[in-house]
Amino acid sequence: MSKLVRVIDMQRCMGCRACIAACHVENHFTPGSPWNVMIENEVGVYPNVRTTFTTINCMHCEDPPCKTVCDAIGINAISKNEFGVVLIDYERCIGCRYCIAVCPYGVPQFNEKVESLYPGQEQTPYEAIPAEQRDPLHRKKAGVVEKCTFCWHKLEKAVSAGKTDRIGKDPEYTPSCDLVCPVNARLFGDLDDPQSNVSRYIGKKKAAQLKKEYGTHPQVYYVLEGGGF
Amino acid sequence: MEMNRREFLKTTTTLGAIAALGIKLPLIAAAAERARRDVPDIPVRYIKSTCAHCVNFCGINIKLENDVIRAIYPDPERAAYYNVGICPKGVSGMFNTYNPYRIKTPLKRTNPRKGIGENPRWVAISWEEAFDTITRKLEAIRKDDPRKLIWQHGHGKYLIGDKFPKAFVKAYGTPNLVHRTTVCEAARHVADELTWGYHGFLPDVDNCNLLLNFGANFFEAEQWARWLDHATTDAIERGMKMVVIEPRMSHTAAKADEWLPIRPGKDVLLLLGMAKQLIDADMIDTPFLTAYTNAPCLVGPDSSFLRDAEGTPLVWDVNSQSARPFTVGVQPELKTNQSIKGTTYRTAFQVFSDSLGGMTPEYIEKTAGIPAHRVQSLAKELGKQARIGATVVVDGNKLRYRPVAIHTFRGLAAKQFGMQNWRAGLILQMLLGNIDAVGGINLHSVYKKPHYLEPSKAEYPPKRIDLQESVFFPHATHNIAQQVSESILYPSRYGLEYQPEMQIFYGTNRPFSTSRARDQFKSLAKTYNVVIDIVLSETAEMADIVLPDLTYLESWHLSPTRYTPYSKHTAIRQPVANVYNLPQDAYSILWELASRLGIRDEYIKQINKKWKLKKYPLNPGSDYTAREVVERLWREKTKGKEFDYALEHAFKGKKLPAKDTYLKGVEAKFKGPDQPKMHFYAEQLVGSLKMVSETVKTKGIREINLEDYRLAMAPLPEQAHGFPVPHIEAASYPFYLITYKRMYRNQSGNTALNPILNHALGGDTNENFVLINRATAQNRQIDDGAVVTIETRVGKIEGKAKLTEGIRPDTLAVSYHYGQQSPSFPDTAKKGLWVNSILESHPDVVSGMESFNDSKCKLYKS
Amino acid sequence: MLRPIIVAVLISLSGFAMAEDETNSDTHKELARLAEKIRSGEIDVGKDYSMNEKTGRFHIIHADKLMLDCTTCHQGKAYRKDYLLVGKDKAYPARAKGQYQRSVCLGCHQKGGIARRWYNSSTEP
Repeated sequence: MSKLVRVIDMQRCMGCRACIAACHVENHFTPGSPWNVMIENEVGVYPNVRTTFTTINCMHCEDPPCKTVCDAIGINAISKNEFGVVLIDYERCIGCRYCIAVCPYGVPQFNEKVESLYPGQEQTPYEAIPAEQRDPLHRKKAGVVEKCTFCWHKLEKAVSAGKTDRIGKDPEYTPSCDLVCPVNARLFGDLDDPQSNVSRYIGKKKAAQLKKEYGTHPQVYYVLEGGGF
Repeated sequence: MEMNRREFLKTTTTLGAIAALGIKLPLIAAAAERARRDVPDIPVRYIKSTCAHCVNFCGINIKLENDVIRAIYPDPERAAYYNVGICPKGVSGMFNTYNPYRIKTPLKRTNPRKGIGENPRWVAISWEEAFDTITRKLEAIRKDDPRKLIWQHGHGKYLIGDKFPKAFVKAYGTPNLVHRTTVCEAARHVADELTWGYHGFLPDVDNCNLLLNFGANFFEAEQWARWLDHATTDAIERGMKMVVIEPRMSHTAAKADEWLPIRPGKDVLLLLGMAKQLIDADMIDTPFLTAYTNAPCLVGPDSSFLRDAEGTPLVWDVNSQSARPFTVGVQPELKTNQSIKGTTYRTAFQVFSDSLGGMTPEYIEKTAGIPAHRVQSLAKELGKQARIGATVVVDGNKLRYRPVAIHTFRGLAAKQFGMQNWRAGLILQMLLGNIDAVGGINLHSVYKKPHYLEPSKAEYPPKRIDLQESVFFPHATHNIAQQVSESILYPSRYGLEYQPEMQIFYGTNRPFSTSRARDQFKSLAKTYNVVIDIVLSETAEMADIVLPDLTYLESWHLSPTRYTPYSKHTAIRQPVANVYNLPQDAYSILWELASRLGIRDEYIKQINKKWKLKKYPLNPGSDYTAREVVERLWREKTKGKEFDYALEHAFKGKKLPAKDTYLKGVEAKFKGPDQPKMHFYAEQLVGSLKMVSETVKTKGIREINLEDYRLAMAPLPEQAHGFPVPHIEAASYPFYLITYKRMYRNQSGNTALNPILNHALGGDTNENFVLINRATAQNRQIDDGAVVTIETRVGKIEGKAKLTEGIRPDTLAVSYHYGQQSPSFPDTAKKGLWVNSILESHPDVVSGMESFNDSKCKLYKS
Repeated sequence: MLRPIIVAVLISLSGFAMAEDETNSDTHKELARLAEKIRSGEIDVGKDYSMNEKTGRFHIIHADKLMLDCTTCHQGKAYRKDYLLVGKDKAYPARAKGQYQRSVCLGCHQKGGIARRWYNSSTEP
């Protein structure tokens, strides 16, 4: 079994937002529906002030309220697979937005419409990739909810190729946000493997989950910096 | 109830069902799941290349699906040599290429009137017509006076390198090729050059324990940012302390151990104040100052060195108690004044030390805004952490160990007295003896150009349009970007013997990117302009002909790279697309023009010379594609490495042994008797000033106020260098106005149209603002987001206020990542303020550096 | 008449402390009965799973049947600067009274709450 988790080291993060750009490029960004965001916050008063940089994306909770609520109303558009990845099936989603209402992390994003990246201009080759040539997770639709997939389209390839040991290491099998960080503030790997990079890092740097009071057991861990979490 | 709810919870996916049975997902199931999800099987390729968004040149790994660029990742192989990751510009770099606003065909202006807001009335023309028109113009100018052509590049230098353009202008016959360094950090380079005969340094971060950073914002965007970011973060985790000294809290300051908000322009005072503390406490590296620098040289009342008949500077020899050249057996005295033949001479060190009387902690507090006790304690910390006298053995080499460093970039440089500001930083480090020491600052190519340590010839009349190294800017060795416009408008003021007629701009938005920017545009109305670029920048709007270029993902180049103290590498860029099927890039445009002008073989000769091609030269009489040339350059620079290796890896790196890092610089060039010396005291400036004075008098130059030059060209930094013109003259303007860069976009048109950068990074990045200290704003009833006016002596602009605790109460700051004005851009690309349009221009007369952080301003609600 | 009392109960639930006095206890029971009636279908809340405040079950349940005031959940125009939420910059619908306070949900929807469980809460099993 694998429990794939991400560790974000806020002490190292310098707020460049490369992870955000990478997520949105990889996953065919829908304007207005971010999958990954940076929250900059000033702590203190001049001249004793610093900024904290927190990126947040889907927590892929062990007990995901989004899935619980979606199942409860019989839609079953949200799944959690054996690697711990929580996915939304756009074909099943009815756009009720219950998942948005219950997610403590504000993760699911409802698409009012799917806008072009260059409104009113000719399509670029990137946007012109037809639906059938995209991973279903990249077939963006209006009227449904979307969110971070842990780049499941990449992880799934690792599974198919029998290379789950390369997850978190090789570009083709690792979530893009975790690949591009200039200061190694992000790690991705298997928490069920006690020798994995994430297992060791969580222990060594005392990483924690956010908003524990909801009991969602997120699969994203933070090495916290500053207060207010 | 609980039961009911559980019944509701269904695990419906195939994966979920398998997981529930406790079966490890077999490959076959994974394949079945992919089939169920209808995942297409798309051919994927990865191609390694080098990013060219900025001057970091990061290694990239481009992912193509069906030949479409789907993603750009950092090249993991490059991590050991330079970048671990890449920035958001590089990550989303495909939109530099996939951009419907690209120029797709040559354009001709049909509106003869040129100016900001004047519609060029573009007409698409064929490449043949474009080449023909430009060639005829170039031929006529060349016949008349080739100097009337000016080639200017900025970012273009990093797309095809500056050696092709340099070869072209040489073959053509104009001295006028102008790069942009005076809008970047030229003053820092010139300070380096005056001190040790070349430029460039990096902190030895891996071994440093205390890093004082004067406004080098390497956690956002500047040279070496993509190495310094991770190297510094690792060092901080190891225990290095970083103190960031700057008026605005950058991301770098936000991550530092301490942010010291210094008053703009006063850095030199803090540095001198700390120097005084160190000298007073005798926390200085006397052996270093004595053996490596000219600090012991004897200075006369005319500020020149006492020299022997051969012109060798003399020191006071402790052994013989006489003035002698520093030769074997001589033991120079560092601190002394001696009367020799009735004249009093002091050592350069003594002159410096005597000049610091007024630099008390209390004075620094009053002027620079750093608390007196912190000036004292920081100096003490520096002196203590420097471990003066310590050595360490690395790879069998016994080396000086001084684990403290001072770093800067535009922080100290982008000012009227930028050169002197950084000289103060270098002098402070000479006092600590950390130059080329383990953990100190590591110099690049020490003494590579010995003539930098000599007085300038201060030529007149100037040969070059930018007045480089002329009487006007005697030590400006990095071109003077902003001067071109002045010279075109008023050539006679500067004694220029020709009136420029044509400007070619390659990959630069020069007039937009300098102070008093509106004035810059006036000069473009006076010349015939050709612009080579990928989008219609503000500069392109002033062109007569625009030629579309290929992007960095569409063209070949032997890329520049960045060394570190521990490694260096050679890299290429290779094309992965040509979205709009463009037949030319800047390389082929130059080749075509050279051919049509009949100077191709001379051009080839110059290319061989500029690139130093010995084993793999280009042959006169032949034409070469960009790929063919890059192959030759690669083989030359890698000593014959197969090009297939380049195509697969895009770079070849080398780790440096410790002796290369620490022993090739000042140890080899300056240490001990009978060696040249590092210029603690920039005596050559005294000689240069004499040249300037004589020329001004004999030629009757009215543009030069000698008092200004005397001040700027002092051999040692001094109090006056903390007071640029606006600080004195614009007293009724209460705020300091500074500028800075954010990570998210460049000032050029390169990134302005990238939808990921414009829309996907977050609402707090997609505009620039007037940063105001929260208390200051509240005193003036200015709310966050309110529209405010900032007014300098040049003009006024409006922008949205952004309140923050992270800026001095007496300072306003505007970022350069937005503010574009080009009418060809959609509104989303050009929000915010164009701060350059109101900055005062007071270039450093020594280095030519433009002043970007000296203006003062008023602030009021609009 | 019921509305302010329900609000008081909700606030006490979200504040991790069950009210012990009789009035609140009665209200709690009443609310629990109401919730059960909604779940069993005894109280018809329609079939429209949406946020539509006229026809959607979400607002029919919470606003019409349980009679929660808008401000019980919608409490401000923007989230605090340091609040960690992916969609915090997303504008709320024009008709809504503000962004909603997520901890309000936790009061009833955690384990042992009167509503369906969405959250496990912070206690151990």
